[in-house]
Amino acid sequence: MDFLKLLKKHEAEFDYADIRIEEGNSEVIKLENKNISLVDNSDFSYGIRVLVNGAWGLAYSNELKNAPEIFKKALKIAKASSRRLKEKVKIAKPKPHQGAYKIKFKENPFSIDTKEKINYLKDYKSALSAEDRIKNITSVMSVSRTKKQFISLESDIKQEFYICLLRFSATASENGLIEETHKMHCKLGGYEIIKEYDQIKTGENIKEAVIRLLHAKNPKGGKMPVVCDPQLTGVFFHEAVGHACEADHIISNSSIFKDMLGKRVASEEINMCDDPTANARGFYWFDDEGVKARETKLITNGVLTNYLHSIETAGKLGMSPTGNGRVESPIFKPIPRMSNTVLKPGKWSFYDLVKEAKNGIYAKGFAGGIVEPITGQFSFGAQECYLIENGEISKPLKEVTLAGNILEILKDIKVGSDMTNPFSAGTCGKGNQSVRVGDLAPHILLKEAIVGGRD
Amino acid sequence: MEEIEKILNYAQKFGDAEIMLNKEEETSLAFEKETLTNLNAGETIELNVRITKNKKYGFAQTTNLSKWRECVDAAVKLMKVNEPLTVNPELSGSKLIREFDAGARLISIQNEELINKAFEIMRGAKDVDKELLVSEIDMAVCNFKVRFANSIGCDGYYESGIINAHASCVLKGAIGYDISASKKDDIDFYELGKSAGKLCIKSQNPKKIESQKTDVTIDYLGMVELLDLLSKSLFASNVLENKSVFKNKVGKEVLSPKISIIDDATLLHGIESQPFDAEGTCSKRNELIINGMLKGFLHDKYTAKQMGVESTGNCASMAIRPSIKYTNLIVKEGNASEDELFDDCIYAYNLMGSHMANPVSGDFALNLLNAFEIKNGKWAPIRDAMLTGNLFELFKNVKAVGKKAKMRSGIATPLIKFSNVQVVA
Repeated sequence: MDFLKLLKKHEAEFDYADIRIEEGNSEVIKLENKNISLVDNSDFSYGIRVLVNGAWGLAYSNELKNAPEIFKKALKIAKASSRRLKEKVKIAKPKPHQGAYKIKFKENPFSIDTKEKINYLKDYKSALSAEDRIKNITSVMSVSRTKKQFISLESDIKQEFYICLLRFSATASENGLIEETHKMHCKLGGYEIIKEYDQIKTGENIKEAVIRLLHAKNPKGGKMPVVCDPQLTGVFFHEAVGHACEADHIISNSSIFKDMLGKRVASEEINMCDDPTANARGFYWFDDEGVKARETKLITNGVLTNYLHSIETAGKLGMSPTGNGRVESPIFKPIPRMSNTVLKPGKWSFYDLVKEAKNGIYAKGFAGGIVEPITGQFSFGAQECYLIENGEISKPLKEVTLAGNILEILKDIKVGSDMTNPFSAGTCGKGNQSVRVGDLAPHILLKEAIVGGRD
Repeated sequence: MEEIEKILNYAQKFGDAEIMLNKEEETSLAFEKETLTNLNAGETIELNVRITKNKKYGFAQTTNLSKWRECVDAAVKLMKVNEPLTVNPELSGSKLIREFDAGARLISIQNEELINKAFEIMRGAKDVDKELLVSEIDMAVCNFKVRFANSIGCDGYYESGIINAHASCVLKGAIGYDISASKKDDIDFYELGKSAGKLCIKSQNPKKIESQKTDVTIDYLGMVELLDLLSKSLFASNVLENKSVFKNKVGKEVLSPKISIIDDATLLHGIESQPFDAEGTCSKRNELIINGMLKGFLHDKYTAKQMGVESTGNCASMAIRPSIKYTNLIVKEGNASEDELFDDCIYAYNLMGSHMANPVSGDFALNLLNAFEIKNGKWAPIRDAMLTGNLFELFKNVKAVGKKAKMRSGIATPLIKFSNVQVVA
C-alpha cells in the first residue's frame, strides 16, 4: 500500500493528515513454579488521521486492503466533527523529516533458542527453590521488536525498537502470613541485555528480601520524612509532577500547574526534565507525530518552565511542540505523554539525606503509582522500607504506600548527588492508552509525606 | 468468521487445536473542556491459536489475519519446545453454541448521534450549576463478534455491543465524575452529567482531618476497587500457586456473614456476560462466597483438572495456563437503609491506588477520593486522607450492606459500611 500516494490523492480534502503504521512481534516466556507458558504475538495496525475545517477524524484497521475506505471514513468523521465544533483545532506543524532509525544490538533476541531462554529463567528459580518458606517463584522474559512508520505529505520516518524485559518475583509464607516482592529490568537492545543480567544474584536478593518482609513490621502511619531511592524517586516525579505538566491536562483545567508557567512550584533544588533521548525505556528518536525527540526542561531551580506537548496542544497554546505526542498503537489519537522522567542530581550525599531525615522512613523500589492531577493528590507504593531512627537506617518494614499533595510536598525536597539509572520497566496508563516510560534520578528526601501504616 | 474453518483444518494436523477469532468495531469520542477533541472509528481483528500435544502446548496470536499460517506455525514451534503440563486439561466438548441470549445485540449509533449524547451529558451537568466546566467526556460504542472452534467439534459464535461513557466536571479545584456502561443502549446521559456535576459541587472546599479509626462507607466505584483486589484470591490459579489466603479454606468462614459474592457470566444484560470463555467452556453462575463462607474458586480447565472439579468457565486467555478472570462479579444486596450507611462515618465515593496494594497479603493504603466526614447528618468534604489496612480483615468487619446494587466495570455491588477502619490523614 502506497500511503503517500493515498495522501496525495485526497490532498484537496484535508488541511493536514498523518498516518501511523505499526508492525511488531514479541515472544514471552513465563515460568511460574512448574508451569511454563510460551507466547508468540504478532501485531499489525495503521491509523489515518485527518484535520478538516478544524476538526480531527481518525480511522484505523488491521487490514491494508481496506486503506482507501479507512481514509474515506476518517474524512467522514472529521466532517461530522466539524459541524459540532466549539473551537477549531490549531496545530503546530512538525518540521519535515525523512529517515530510518534502528536500535543497535549484538545478538538478535529472536534468533536465540527458546530452550536457552527457558533455562535462563530456570537458573533464577534454582536460586530460591531450596527455601521452604518460598511458595511461588515466577519469572518472565519478554523480547519484542516494533517497527513504526510515520507518514505525512512532508515526512516519512521509520523507527525500529528492540526491547528486552525481565521480571522476577517470589511469594513467601509462614505462620499464616504471605508476602511478595519483585524486581524488573528493562533495556532497549538485544539478547546481550539478558546475558549481562545476573538472574542468580537477583534470585538470592529476592529470597532475602521476601523473607525479610515476612518478619518486618508495618510502619506507624502518619506524616513523616521519607528518603526515596532512585527508582522510587523516578516514579514520584513521573506521577506527582510529570502528569501535571502534560498540556492536555493544562488545557482542560485538570492540572494543578495551570497558569503557573514561570512561577515557583518546587524547592530550588529541583531540576527536572523529560528526555526521550536518555538511555532508558521511554527512548525514541521521533514522537508519533514526527516531531524530533529532545530534552524538555520542566522545572528549573524550582520554577515551572514548560509543558509537554502534542502538535495540537502546542498549537492551542501558541507554543512549540516538544516531541511528546505519543500513542499506544496507531488506533489511538496522539496525546501528550512522558518519555523518560529525569531528575538532575543535587548536592546531598545519601548519608546526609538520612541524617537530615532524623526519624522517618527509607523507601526503596516502586510498586506502582497514581495521581489525580486536578486536586494534586497522589500515591505511590514502595516495595521495601526501613525505619530511620536518630539519623540512621534501622529496622526493616513492610512495603508502604506514600501519599500527599503535589504542591505541598514539592516545596521542601532535598536532592541527592548519586544519579542512577535503574533500568526500570515502567508502563504509564492514561485514559485508555499505555506507553512505555523510563526514569533516571538520585535519592531524595521528602520533608513530609503521608505514610500508610497500620499502627 | 468463516476463515476459522481453514485455520482449524490446518492447525489440527499438529495436535489438539483451539482457535478463537475476535472482530471488533468501535467508535469512540472525547470532549475536553466542552469541545469535541476526538472522534475515531475503526475495526480490529485478532486471531488466537493454541496447539496442545502430549500435554505440551504453545500459543500464538496475530492481528494480521493474512499471516494466519505463520501464526499457527509459531504456536506449533513453541509447543514442541515446551515442557509437559502436570495434567492434561483436555479440550472443551461443549455443544454447538450459535445463539446467545443474555440481552446481547449489536448497537448501531451514527457519529452525529454519539455527539448528541455527549451534549446531553453537558446539559445535565450545567443544569446542576452553570459555572461547572465539563472537563472530560469519553464515550465508546463497541461491537464485537467472537467465534471459537476446536478440533473435537466445539464451535461457538456470539456477537454483542456495549456502550461506555465517562464524564468529569471541575469547579474551583474540585472534581466530580461518574461512569456508566450498558449493553442495551439505555444509558441516561443527562443523568450521568447531572451525577458528575452534583458530586463536584458537593466536593468543594475540602478540609483536612485527623487520623482516626472509624466506620467507613464506600460507594460503588470505591467498592469496585476493593472487590477487584479481593477477586484475585478467588482465582484457582492463585490458590494453586500459593498466592491466595483462601487456600484450604473451602467450607470455612472467610469474610463477614453479611457478604455473599457470585460470578455469573449468564446474567441478562450483564456487562461481562458471554456464552463461553476463552477455551470454549459454557458460561455458568458460580457461587464463591455465601454468607461469608467460601464455596469455591474460579477455574479454567487446567486448574479444574488439578483440583478435581469442573471448569467454572472463567478462562481469560488461551495464552497462559492457567489464566483466570471474573465475568460479572456480583455482591448480594443487604438491607441497610441510607440512614444506617451514612450514620456518623467517613464516606468515600472512590478509592485510588488499588493497583499498588498487595493482592497476596491483602495489605493496602488507598487514597480516599471525593470523601466526606458525616456527623449528625452533615456532610463535610475532606482531603488528603488514606484508608489503610488489610483487605481480608476489612471484609470481616462489615457493619452494613446497602439495599441497592449498581453495576460498574463488570462488578455489581451495593454500598458497604466497614467498621473500625484506619484512616490516615
